[in-house]
Amino acid sequence: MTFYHTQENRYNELEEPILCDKDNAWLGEAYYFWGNEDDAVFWGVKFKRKTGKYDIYKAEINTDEILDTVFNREQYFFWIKQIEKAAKFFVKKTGTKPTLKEINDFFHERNVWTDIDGILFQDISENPIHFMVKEFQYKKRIQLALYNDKKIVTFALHYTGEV
Amino acid sequence: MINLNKLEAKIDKLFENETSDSLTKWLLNKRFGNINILLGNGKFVSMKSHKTPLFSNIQKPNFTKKDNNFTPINRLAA
Repeated sequence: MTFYHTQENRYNELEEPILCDKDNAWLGEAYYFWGNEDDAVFWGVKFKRKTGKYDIYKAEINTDEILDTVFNREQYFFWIKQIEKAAKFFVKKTGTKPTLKEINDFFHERNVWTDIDGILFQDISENPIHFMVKEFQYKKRIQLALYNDKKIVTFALHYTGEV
Repeated sequence: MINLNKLEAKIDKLFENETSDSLTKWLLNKRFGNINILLGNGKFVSMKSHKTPLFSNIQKPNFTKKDNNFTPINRLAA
């Protein structure tokens, strides 16, 4: 399956994606990819502005062992059940609500997610070109958090854009 | 193909083995990192602020009824 990886253009072409370990990375430390090229471009224009240019890399990734919470009904409901179970468990044991990242970090560090290569997930796009009808955003913004970089079949520079 | 039953069993087993202490310690370290090592382990405390009735004890000004017969001329005379 094809995915896109956005980074600032720093004049060195990447040979592999950059691991994201930021605190706001929803699904914990992972290689993050976009499902749609226009979301990758929008991310570059909006958030990868420091050097005035951004790079979009195109990757083919083996998704056989990816937990697909976007298109697979069974896996989506499984995901919801586990996240809510974990959230309740955290509240019961610690008295505080966890973030989604904390739950995923916890699963990671306790070797729960070793059986999966990553998680395909979605939220709602802020990209104005996606708002083609009034009052409702119908288009998913799909991302892949890849934990196992060995599943990347190809990875190459696809496009350099200017902000 | 992901074996969801196996994955769920793994998650349930994880919860069975985790205690309040171990989970709280893990979460404190995750949120506060080295500061937590410095301060020691504690517990999560609700930081919700309570509304302080800042002005509740302030007495209302005790205005007296205006003397309609009082004129600036009277003031000068006083």
